[in-house]
Amino acid sequence: MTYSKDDILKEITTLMIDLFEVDPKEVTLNASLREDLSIDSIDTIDLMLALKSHVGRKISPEEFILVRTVSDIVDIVHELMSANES
Amino acid sequence: MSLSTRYTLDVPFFDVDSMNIVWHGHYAKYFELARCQLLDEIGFNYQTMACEGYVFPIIDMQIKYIASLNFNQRVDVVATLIEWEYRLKIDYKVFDHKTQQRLSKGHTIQVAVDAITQKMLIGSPTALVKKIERVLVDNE
Repeated sequence: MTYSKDDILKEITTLMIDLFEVDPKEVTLNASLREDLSIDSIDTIDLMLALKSHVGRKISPEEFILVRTVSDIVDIVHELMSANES
Repeated sequence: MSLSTRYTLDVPFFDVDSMNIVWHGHYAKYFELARCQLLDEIGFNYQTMACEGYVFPIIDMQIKYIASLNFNQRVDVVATLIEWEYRLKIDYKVFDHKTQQRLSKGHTIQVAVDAITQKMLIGSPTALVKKIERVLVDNE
């Protein structure tokens, strides 16, 4: 099954609601993790672990440390899911 | 060895409170004693971490008190490393040494912090992951 970026955004939104009790309306592609969603560096590790479990592939910390917005996460997950399909 | 260790201690007199049971805050010390033994056995204790340029502060701890601990009671604290790729998560179980009744359980989470920049790493240092992987291979 091919996942669109919209599908991935919906799944990430669900994960973030479960993990951090964020307001779903605030989880937009342009939302900043730190400023808009109050996700700190410790939360980031929880998010990586949840995404790893969800995608079934290791998330590279070197790549994830550069993440600033929800859109950055969508791109990483999209890339990993595409790799899963190939 | 496995990624688990058993630390045995006799509850000291000065750890019990006015109810004659171990004050809840002391469990953190018992977990620490077991954790240090576990890290020694893995070959990546706090001194090694410091030499590699990292500190590993606790960022989360959870303890469930199932049954009380008493003065002079011999107990086993079993510490098991359950996550290490992005952070160190260690699970603890406290048993009465004689009966092996489970008295407490909990966990701690530590993250790597660069000792110089004081910045948190979102992945464990390669040196640590390699040590752990070596121990796992040796155990196979």
